[in-house]
Amino acid sequence: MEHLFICPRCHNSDPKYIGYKNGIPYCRACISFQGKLAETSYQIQGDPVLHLDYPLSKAQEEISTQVLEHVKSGKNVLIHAVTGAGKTELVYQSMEYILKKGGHVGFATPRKDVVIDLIPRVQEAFPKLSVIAVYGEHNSKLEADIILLTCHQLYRYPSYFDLLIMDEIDAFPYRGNEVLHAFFQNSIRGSYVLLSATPSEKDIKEIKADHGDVLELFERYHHHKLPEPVLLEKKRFSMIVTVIKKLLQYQKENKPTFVFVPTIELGEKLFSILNLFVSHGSFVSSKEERRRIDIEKFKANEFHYLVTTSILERGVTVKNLQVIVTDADHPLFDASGLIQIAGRAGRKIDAPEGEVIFIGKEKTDEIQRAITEIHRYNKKAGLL
Amino acid sequence: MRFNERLLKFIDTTKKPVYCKSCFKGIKTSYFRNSVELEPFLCDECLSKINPKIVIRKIENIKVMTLSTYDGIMKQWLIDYKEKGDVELAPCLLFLFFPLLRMISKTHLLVPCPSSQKKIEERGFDHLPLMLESGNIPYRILLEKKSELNQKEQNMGSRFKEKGIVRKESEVQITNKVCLFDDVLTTGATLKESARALINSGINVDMAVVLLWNNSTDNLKLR
Repeated sequence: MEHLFICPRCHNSDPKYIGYKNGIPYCRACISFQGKLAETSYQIQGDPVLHLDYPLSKAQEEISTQVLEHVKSGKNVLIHAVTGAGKTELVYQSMEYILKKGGHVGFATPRKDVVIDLIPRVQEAFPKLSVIAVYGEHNSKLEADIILLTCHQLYRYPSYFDLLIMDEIDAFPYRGNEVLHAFFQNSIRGSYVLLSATPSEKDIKEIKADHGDVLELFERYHHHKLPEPVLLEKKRFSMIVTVIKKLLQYQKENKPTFVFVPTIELGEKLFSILNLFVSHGSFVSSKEERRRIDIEKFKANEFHYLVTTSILERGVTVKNLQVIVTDADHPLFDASGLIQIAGRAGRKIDAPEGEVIFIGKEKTDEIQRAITEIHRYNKKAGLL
Repeated sequence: MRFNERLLKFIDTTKKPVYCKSCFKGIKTSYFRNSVELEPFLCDECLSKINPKIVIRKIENIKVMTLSTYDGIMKQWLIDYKEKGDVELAPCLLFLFFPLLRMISKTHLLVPCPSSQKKIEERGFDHLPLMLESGNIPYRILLEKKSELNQKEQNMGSRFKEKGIVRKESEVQITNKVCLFDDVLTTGATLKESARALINSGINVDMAVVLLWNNSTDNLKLR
């Protein structure tokens, strides 16, 4: 009878992931995750004082205080806050508390782009502390006062963090990845805080089973409602014509636009057509190495629109952004993805509104759920 | 394997779920594929990512045949296999080329280029012989490496330096023609030194088979 092998790192016991070297079993699920580990003896070097240039909203203050109370009592939290609510700011007080006690604080997220975007924000909030980013090609330095990292790098920090914040828990590749989940659990020696605008029922059940609580925040920091998507049911040709007309209109009104597509292939085809009629655009996807440059150009108004895959559905804030989702009925667009995409619009206090248009052949269940949820959030926030 | 054993194995594999060694997805293979491969281990999608690109060139009078290029899925497999120790990938790397290697082994003695003892101990296995064993390709170890230098850590200049490859001491007379076997061809220095070590001991080396050609380096000159 074969003995059951359970990987000590990722707890995998599925036989399809188990290999044998010289007759000894090894785990193939987490084998790629090999490398230097962080020194647990690291001590905070700087002065852990929080410095915020702007006040939090009343709702943000309440949630921030509740998170701090949970962390002080060693409990875990899931913050369900809508897109643009200012989730990151909700954990600053707790970070300050743990840092003042000399603890290790980490902020993890599934995407490298988000880690890179977070560095200046967190550094500004904690100006006297060292803040580093750890991701893929950028892992020569592992220790600092605050560590921002992709979830793939968590394996370098076994039993390390006294407070670990995990942002976008429902985003690829973290979602449903048992190995990354195991690394997350292994890296905590204190409390954790999960952040999401679209947590699943499973996420909520799990935090409650782990003696944690769910805190909800349905209003954006600027008190304006979430833009509610409008669905246009159109076939392919009229969809393209509609997108062209809208882009030309937004261009005249000087409104930057994201045009979301479900796949890289569809994006390349759509952009090649749009480019004939609407200038100053570009196509970005996970395949495009220069996407960061294109996004910076877009923010600097050199591009007026970007055709993009779901790579930009999270973690991006652009003033006065309009959003169009093409092939919104595509199976790759689920409700949480559509909610995240819709959440790109209206994020700035001086541009709190924006159009969100879904275009597809039919209204799918996912589209219906996304529209209904956004409407529900606005109602719960008392904004309708 | 006798017919009844093959038949039992065939029936067995059609009942058990079969998983791809590369992507771990379930493999839905046809009866034909099951009967030919007996234990299929690569799904059609991963198979289609293998990019065979056979190129033959001459390096110091030795015909060197490279089977693919150092990119894509082959590169990833080799890194996972060699650097991370994922030995289950051994048969995947040579899967498409086993028939060619079997053909070569009928006229030549396959001799893997050597790794240093230190590296073998670090990895826990000797990667080239293991690749050949995974396809039941006969080979002979005739070379050993005295140098402890890590190839990957060397810059282009250093890669041309001597690697301390010598003929392994043995009383066995080798009368067959020898075909060297290596995993990556970058500058050709390892191949040349291996060939010289054998030729100097009276062995006829007239060809080499290298799995991947690393053509990504600028100014690469195969001397």
